[in-house]
Amino acid sequence: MNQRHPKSKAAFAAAIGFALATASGPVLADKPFAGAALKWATLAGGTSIEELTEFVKPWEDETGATIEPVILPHPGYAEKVMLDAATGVNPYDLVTLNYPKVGQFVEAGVVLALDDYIASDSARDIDVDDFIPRLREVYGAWKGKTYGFPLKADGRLMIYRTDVFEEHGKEPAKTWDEFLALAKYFNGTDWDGDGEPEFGAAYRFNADVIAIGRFAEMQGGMGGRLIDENFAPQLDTPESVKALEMIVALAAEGPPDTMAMGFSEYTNTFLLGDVPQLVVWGQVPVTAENPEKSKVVGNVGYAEVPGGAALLGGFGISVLASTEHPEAAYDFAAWFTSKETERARIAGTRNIFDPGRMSTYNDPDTVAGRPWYPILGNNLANGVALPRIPEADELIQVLGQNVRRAAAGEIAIDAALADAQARWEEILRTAGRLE
Amino acid sequence: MRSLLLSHRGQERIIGPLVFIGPAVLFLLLFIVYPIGFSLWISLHEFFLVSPRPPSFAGLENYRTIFDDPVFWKSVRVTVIYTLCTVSVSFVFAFFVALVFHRLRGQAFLLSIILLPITIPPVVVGLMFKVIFVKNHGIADYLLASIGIPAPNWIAEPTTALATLIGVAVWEDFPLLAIILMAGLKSIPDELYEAAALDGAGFLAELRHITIPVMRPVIGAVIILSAVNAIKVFDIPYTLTSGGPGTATLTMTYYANNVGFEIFRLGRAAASSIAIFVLVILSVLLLARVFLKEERD
Repeated sequence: MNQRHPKSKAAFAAAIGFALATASGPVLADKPFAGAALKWATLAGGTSIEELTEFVKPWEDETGATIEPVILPHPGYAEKVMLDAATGVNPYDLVTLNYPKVGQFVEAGVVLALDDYIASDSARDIDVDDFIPRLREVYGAWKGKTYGFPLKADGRLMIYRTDVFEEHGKEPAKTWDEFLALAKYFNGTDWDGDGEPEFGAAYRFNADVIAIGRFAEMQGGMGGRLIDENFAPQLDTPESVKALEMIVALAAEGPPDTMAMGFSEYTNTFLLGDVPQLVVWGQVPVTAENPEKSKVVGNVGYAEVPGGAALLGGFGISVLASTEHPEAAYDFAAWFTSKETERARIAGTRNIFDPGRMSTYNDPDTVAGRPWYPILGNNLANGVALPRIPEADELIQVLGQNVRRAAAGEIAIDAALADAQARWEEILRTAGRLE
Repeated sequence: MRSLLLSHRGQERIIGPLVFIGPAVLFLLLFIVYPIGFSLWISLHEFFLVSPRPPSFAGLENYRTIFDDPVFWKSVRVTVIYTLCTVSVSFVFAFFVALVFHRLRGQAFLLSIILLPITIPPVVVGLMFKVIFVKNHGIADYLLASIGIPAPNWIAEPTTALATLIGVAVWEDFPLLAIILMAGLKSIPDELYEAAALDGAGFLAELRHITIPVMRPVIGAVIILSAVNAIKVFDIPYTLTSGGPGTATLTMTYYANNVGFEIFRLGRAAASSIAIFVLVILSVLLLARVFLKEERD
């Protein structure tokens, strides 16, 4: 989501200036990294290249280094960075890393361990204990070491139409069974009185990673999990069957193009008043409260994801092992994810990467304009994560593909899960993780 | 002296042709034989790009893995259906357009109009039609609604998604085929038609006994070209349907892309590419046998 408000530019610049002036930690030597030119492979995350370039100027002024953010398109993003790193073509110094890729990048030796820098007295103080522990673990930790810091915390929550729920005497769902019951109740009825029948819910399956995310969220909400601590897949359990049955059932209560929806079409079902409840990423409420983009402003309620096992998305920032300026790259990562910079990132109506620090979610001034933050912060602290091992991509593809096939009616639910279970076991056995 | 001279001439006979065909052979070796050979080599190795371990020989394991994968066979089925439908519909449409246009005045203007789809990159074509087919809010639904026809679920149901994909591919492919066929039609001597007219032949008789037989090599070339392009299709399903719903529009190249660049199993991706290569070769051989046999004889 890109929230650009020219009028707030002055306030934004002031916020960055204030953030820099009050940044904690040791005072760095004057221009300690003068001459270092860093390239940062990142995704847009709700901002533009111009905004990012403008945003990082205070760090450039302070350190003498320059940073060139290179915004890459989301599909195939990490793959491109990995290929560039593996082949030595177009090398970057920093990378915004989707957390399922952490194991892959670490095991391939592509990213640096940052623990020595964190412990160093001369490096910028990052206050790692202030990061939401779950995010610190999922976004950057691997075998006891730290390879990245939470940069863009993607959490989930449920949004619902307060006016419609109130009129019909309904409460937001606490379980997936309740969510489905509400979807059935509302689907096909004219619940907003505009003369047209609307839908009960919407779901999204247009990519493998999306499909496995929905499955993991429901399976977790029903007491299941994808894999146990011994790397044994848990895909043929009763919870898994129920989760996939729920996905198939919900697809029938949504708009006819449910199976082909992308992010915008999906969120627009709620923003345009076509569905009364939707489980969304944490940045969607900003749009839902924006009258230029939403027809439901003022009628949006926020609640936990049904079942209480919200999926974790999100990205950390890591330093690439090939960098010629590791100190400067670390310093930038530390600066960009510091408390002060994090608040400047979301100052006013801006949203340059959602925050990942407890202090931000507990800050009364920040929360005052974002009533969904307490729910989001809680979901981030307890979120369900996708696999992060080097084989994660393949696991995600196998299960995601089978969920999509089952939802499209290509394969029976039991067969889809049995196939996924067998193939996960084979992948994990071949990798030596499962006996 | 005489034998020396002959020997010198003999050398010329060998070296001369080599000088002329050498660059072409070198080009073939470097840019066709080597890449295919390298793909074959990768397909016989366990090559996990993100692993610090170097590629290791795996025999036919990559082929076993993809042949055991039902999604691979689904992609073969999708590719075959897509190819058969796209080639046949594109050809019929293009042949009709060529027959009509090559007798009309103002061909240059008409050609410039029907050529428009070729000028748009396939990725843009996919995105453009995705907007057109957005359910309830797209232009396609609006136009059908305005004449009272209920719109199908264009890209959100397995059967309609594949049909929609084929329709878009035909829209993009037929102009090139039409132009080649028009060029073929223009190469038929008028005398043949004049003689046929004297014998009282009508349009259908001319088509059957003159146009199609004379055009046979051109038709063969057009169909082979179209089939090879269809088997290799990737960009339109990638942008229009993302291979879905489920795997309803997952083509073989899309499958190879997913295996190679989503999960980095380059050995398996190469094995998939070799399977595509084999399908292309078999198709070309079959089509060449059907359409070019007479010419070759």
